[in-house]
Amino acid sequence: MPRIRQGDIFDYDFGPVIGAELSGRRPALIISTDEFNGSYRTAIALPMSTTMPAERYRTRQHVHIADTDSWASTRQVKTVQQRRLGAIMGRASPDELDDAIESLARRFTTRHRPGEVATPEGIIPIDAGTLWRLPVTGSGGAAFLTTVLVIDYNAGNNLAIAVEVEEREARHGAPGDVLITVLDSNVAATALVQRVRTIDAVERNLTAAGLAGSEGVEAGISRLLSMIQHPEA
Amino acid sequence: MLEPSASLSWAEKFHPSDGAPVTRAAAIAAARHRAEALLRTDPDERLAYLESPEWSFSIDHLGQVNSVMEVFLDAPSRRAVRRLAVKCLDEDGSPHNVASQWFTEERYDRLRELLDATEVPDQLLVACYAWLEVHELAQAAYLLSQNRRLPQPDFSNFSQTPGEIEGDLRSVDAV
Repeated sequence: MPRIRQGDIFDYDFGPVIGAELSGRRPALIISTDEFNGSYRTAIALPMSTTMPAERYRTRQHVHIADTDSWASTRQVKTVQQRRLGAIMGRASPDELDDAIESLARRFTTRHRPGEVATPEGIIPIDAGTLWRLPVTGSGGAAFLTTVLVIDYNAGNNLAIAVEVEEREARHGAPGDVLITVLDSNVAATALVQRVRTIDAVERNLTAAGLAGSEGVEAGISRLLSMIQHPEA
Repeated sequence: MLEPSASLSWAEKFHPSDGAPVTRAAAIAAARHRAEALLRTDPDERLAYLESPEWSFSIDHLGQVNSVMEVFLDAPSRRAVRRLAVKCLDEDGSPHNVASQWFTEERYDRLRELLDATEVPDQLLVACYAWLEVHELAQAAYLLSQNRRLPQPDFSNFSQTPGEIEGDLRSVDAV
């Protein structure tokens, strides 16, 4: 397998279309650091589109990658499998990579409107810090539930950036493991920051799974930034 | 965020006076009203918000604002914001300092020059929008600089167990 570098752009199949999630076969801009890519079998990526985004949202939510004349969607960060990356299609310049990472970081520095999700238990508020059970289908067709922690929510398009959560202690020395506190629960829980996905909260049939303490959410965001930040010049 | 002095300098440069004299207090109030209205809007929807009846921007005007912002906050400008963010962090400054230092008189004049070439109905509103864009860019650059100085995850002695690898791959495959 070729060495995967931060800033590379590969052909990738993001899977079936669900709501506003950018899916299907399209270029993927790798934003995870070279250290991350060398240590995990996955990489963190932004899906790209060759269609110019709607005028009003262009500068804030998309970064033009001149090498491929495509637009990286900085609101739809997703973990991808390295072995499924297709042909290399180009490379982002250092400025473009900085812009993409900075645009994603802006999600975490500005206050956004929280939203609401219709669930079997009724209308539940959704915002950073909420935990959800997400029904998914595995590659063999088996359906199962996974738990996710929302670290950012965009009420404008219902997209949530979420990391997977497992009920266990954090493994010492595992870069992606962040211990979180689940409010009103004694169960140990760990956010696996390397497993990040963007989900359409309205279309995904979520069920509420509680609230996480703010320290865990902040630590999760900080760890995600450490995994994608461009080395300082 | 909005000190009266900053509000006054915006108002003096961008207030749509239509030739009529504007009092200092009225100019400051206009700047504050616009900035606070923009602050109340979700940042991702802020540009679209200019279309609301209070401001009467058309789709074409939004396109002009977008183009102005692309030129005003071009790659060298964004690099300058990043450098200032590192400097402010070194000096225990805040993201607010980054934006204030970046917005020099020359940059105000540049923004005015760009806006004069458009047909936007309210330059002061766009100036407030630009200030918030710079401030939020500064916040993000500051957060990233700050985060680089925290203890970083150590990849050098890390290797995943087969179970962890399988878990990651299963997670990515699950749609």
